[in-house]
Amino acid sequence: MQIPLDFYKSAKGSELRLRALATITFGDRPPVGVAFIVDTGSPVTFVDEFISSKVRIYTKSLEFDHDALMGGTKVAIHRAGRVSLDFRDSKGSLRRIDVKDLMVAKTGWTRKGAIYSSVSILGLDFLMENKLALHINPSKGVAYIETEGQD
Amino acid sequence: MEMELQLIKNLEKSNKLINHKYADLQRRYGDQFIALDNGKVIAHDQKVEALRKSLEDKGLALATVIIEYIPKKGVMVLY
Repeated sequence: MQIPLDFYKSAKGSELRLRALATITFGDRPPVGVAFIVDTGSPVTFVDEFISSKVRIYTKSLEFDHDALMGGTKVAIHRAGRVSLDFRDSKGSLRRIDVKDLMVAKTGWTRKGAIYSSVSILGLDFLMENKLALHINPSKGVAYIETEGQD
Repeated sequence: MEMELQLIKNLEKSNKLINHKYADLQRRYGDQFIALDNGKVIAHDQKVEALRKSLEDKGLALATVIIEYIPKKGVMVLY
């Protein structure tokens, strides 16, 4: 089963973006949308606090896990527990992938002149935990996540 | 599950706007945060905290809202 990613390349090639659009469901709360940056350089998957705050989940009520440095910004990473992510697969159907312990990031401080871009990251841990393969062929504009097994 | 599909379709419209109108967005909102919903910019501010507060104050349904930082022309955002 393939989950297409949004790979965008501008006409001049100066803009390149790779995103995964999904909904996220925290427990019994209603689902909310999230646009992840796909970043295999990140060992951790997290959403910005803005995403969890849509269903009134704030980092002040979550367990602190660790700090992370992103450019000139320190973010505090908190554990939000099990959540479900729903993606649209290549056939247009929903595909649910559970995450055991999603992290929520809140800005700690930002170095002068730096900007925290309020980003949500789909990292390497998500691929590992769910035994997913990431296929990218930028020159052909093809990018998708593939699960193991039949479908 | 119908709700999730609708949310994703909404996100796709906003993402399409970012992808295909990025130069326009930079001209109008360079060095600002914008909030998008269903393919439209619904709010913008230089500070993300102020933008979030304005969204809350407006009492909007935020389920499908995404926030994006738009850098000035000539600046690239790396993560």
